[in-house]
Amino acid sequence: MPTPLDLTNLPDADVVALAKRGREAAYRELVRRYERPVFTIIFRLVRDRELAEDLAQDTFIKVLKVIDQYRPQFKFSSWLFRIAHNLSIDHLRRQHMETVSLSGATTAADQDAIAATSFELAAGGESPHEEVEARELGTAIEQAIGGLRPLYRSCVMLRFVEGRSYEEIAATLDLPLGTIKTYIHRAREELKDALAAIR
Amino acid sequence: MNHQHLRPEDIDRLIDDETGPDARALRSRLDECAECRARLAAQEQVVALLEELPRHAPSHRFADRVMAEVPVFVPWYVTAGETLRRYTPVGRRARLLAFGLAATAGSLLTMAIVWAASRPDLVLLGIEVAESRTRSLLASASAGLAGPLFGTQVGAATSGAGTLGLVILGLVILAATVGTFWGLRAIAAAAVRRRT
Repeated sequence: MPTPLDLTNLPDADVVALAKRGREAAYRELVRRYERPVFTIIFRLVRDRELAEDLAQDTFIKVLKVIDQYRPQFKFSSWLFRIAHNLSIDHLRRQHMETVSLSGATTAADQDAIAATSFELAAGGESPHEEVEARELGTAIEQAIGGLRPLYRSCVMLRFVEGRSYEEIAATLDLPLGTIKTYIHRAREELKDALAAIR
Repeated sequence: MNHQHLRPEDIDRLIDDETGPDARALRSRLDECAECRARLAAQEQVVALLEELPRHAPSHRFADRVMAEVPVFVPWYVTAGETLRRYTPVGRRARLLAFGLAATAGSLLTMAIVWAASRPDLVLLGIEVAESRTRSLLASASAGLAGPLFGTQVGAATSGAGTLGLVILGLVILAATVGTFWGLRAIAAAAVRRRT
């Protein structure tokens, strides 16, 4: 049986193959590799930590329960992100929360909860003025992202936060490559305009 | 000067840091136009802010909670292989010996099957003898069992009734056993309910 170190160095396809053979360590390795990016994407869509963790858990459970049906001609990460995205969008549609316009989670009931679910970027090594500006820009970009439609938000998260290629994003969201590039371009334009309006 | 501003897709290519002669031509056009440089700089700032966004992590027991809900399915051929490996000797000589013994046993069994297939009359005779012996054993055993339980007349009738009698007696004993089991269980459950 491969040691944990071996699993860490294996490509996704090999780890999935081991999972299909009933290796629990392979299941855990897949969770370990993708829990942060899956959680990050979902968190930025739903803006609620507890909800994001539930949806991320549902994503992995859904994927791992049918891991024996996975076909290696598709990237595992694309499949996983697609399910994460779809679960989040389904939830947002059920809650009619297509865009988020306030700081903090929409389910935050008091100031403490709003503060706990608001985003802050800690800027190190800057002057107070620069730090305030950076903080404002950081909060502004978070607010601007919250104002994007969910599909645009997923595109920019996958592209600029997770560093996925256009082709992989197209496979993940099941959209044409040209559409993805258009969405990312439009999302950047909307973010630019939103940031310009704040300054 | 007839300057053509960069198109949105040109900005995208520069943002994506494309290389090649086309990209170099785009960059040289930037030197000629402050507006294009400003547009590119604005887009680059957005990208920089996005890339600096913090990554978030779920709680540290996230994997455990996921695995608690996921049944790890082991295919039958993996289980069979692992069972075989468990009983396979480790050393080379031991493996050769085990292989030799298995091959010998397999050969003998094959020869026995081939012999049996070539002598159907002998096989049928053997089966009849075995059945007759088994029936007489069961009949004497059931007579010995039924007599004390239900009386000597029942015992005698059972041994004389042949196969049908044995089957009926077996069913009666089975029904009695199951009935006793369920009865005792019901009594125990009732006792528990009374206590609570």
